[in-house]
Amino acid sequence: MKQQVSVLVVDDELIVRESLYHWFKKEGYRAETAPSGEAALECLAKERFDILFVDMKMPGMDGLELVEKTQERYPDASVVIITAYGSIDTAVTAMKKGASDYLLKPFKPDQLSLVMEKILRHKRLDRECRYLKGELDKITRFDNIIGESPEMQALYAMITDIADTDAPILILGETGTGKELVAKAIHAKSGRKNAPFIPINCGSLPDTLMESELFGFTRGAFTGAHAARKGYFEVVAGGTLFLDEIGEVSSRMQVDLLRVLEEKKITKLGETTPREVDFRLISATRRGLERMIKAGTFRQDLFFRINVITLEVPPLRKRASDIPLLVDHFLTRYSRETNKRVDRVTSDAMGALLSHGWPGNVRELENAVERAVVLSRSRTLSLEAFDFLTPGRKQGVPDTRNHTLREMERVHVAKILEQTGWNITQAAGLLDISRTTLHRMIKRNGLEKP
Amino acid sequence: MAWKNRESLLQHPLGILPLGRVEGEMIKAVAGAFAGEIGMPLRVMPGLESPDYAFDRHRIQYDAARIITRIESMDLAGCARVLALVDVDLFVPVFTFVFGEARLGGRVALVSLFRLEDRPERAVKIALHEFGHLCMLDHCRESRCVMHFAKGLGHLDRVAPYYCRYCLGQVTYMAGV
Repeated sequence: MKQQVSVLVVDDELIVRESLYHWFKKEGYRAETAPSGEAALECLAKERFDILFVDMKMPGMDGLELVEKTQERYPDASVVIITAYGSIDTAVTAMKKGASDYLLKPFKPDQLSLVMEKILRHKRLDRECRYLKGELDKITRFDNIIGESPEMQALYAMITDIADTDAPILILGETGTGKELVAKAIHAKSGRKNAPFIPINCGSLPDTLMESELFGFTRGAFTGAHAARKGYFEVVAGGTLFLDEIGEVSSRMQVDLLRVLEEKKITKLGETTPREVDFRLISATRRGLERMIKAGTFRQDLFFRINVITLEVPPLRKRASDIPLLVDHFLTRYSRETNKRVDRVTSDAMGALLSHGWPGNVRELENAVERAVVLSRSRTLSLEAFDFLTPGRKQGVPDTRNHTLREMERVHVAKILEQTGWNITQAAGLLDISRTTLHRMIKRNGLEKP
Repeated sequence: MAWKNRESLLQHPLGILPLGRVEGEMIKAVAGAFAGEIGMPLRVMPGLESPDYAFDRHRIQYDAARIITRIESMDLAGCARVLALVDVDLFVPVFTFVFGEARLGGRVALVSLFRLEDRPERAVKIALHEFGHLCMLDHCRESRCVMHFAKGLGHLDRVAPYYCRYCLGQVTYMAGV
């Protein structure tokens, strides 16, 4: 065990270097020496050292500077300052700069053992902490999906159960809940994980473009088709095709999709011979497809084809207990990306985040944390950093002197509905009225769910 | 270095060298322990004066490294390794004091009787410990082994006056017995 611990003794006095070197060797540590700060940095560049014993006063680079450079470049290395009785203040400064401990020359042999024991115990605890954090991550994360609430645990179990089947899956969930992450997790856990995962947002592609993108075309199939191109159904070759916002697909494309799903064959634009394709389909929508079927805008037979298994991703307001975990995750990510050290949120701010309705779900929370980190000037995010979530709080109540009672009702009901993400029960509870009355108010004021 | 020279070391006895005023009882106890614990050939060398050349006026102690260097430069009278017993307080630059001093695989080990309160069994433990270092032994994790690092007299008294079986194996191999 001790052989694995490496110690670098940095002192300009040969006799001190030798004394410590021999002591560490007798204790069974791997030891090296360096006569100056510059030489120590050269040693550190060549090999890893766990602990450095650094003399405070050295010609050239002194101990303090070496502590700073070591902390900057090799933060895992612990530094112990060796100093004379008269320079305790400097040793304290070194401790503030990141040194682990200091020893006053000359010291009793047992003091050196105690310092070593203390540092090694700290390193062991640090290792254990990292290991446990990794284990915790395994529990609270599932292929980049973060959450430990019962709702998310149920979702993880469902993903594990269905990943290995080939049945088409329909993922339901509000915007920003992470439907694509769920689809990716299913793909990653399936037998198709080594083949591509291709996500397509049906809402962002015009009908004609979607057809050529999905099916591909031959050269000259239409004006501008200068070269043949494979479609996603072909490119996916054994992988998973993720059709996001499938409710946005036109009636004509719905027919084409249905045929592909039934026959597992496609015919490229400009070709007459069908070719076989192999893929797993995962679709997602935030719109109620049943309502669309009733309204005649979505084909029932296609719905049955894509909806063999349904997964529902809960909105963030239904798993508010995951908010601190998500905030912590986004803080880590954006602190790293913006190169800022912002790693705390005050309890007031966390309270505000927990009580916010999050109509935009995890995506909205992520954007909020990113914005707060970018604009933050301190290590801690306070309530003020999230003022933009509730504009009325800081800017005061808007001037409503000329509003009628009906106008005020409309504004207030709309605000509460937005805050609760159009959860009728929650909104009715906040307004202290019945659900029926709220429904009446929504209708009366012509409010529509976004 | 010591490993390479093992063959030549085996042909020569361990010298016990008193420096300054060292009681015969102490020498006898140390020699007896080596004979009993390791069974190697020993030679008690003629005593030398107290090592005043190693005295440090600021610390009012004697520099162990200087004493070792001086003995190493002397004619060791056919002894491959020497265990010097001294009646003065020893130090190495970074430590306030040491009970003894030896380099791993070196030829000379020092035992200071100064802090041992005239108790021969303590001198025996320090002597066996420092001799272990001459035989390339590190400090042992076995708390009762004489090669375990003793932080003070309390620790020293809890250590047994013999090697654990692993350390004894190394010492007897190096001593050729």
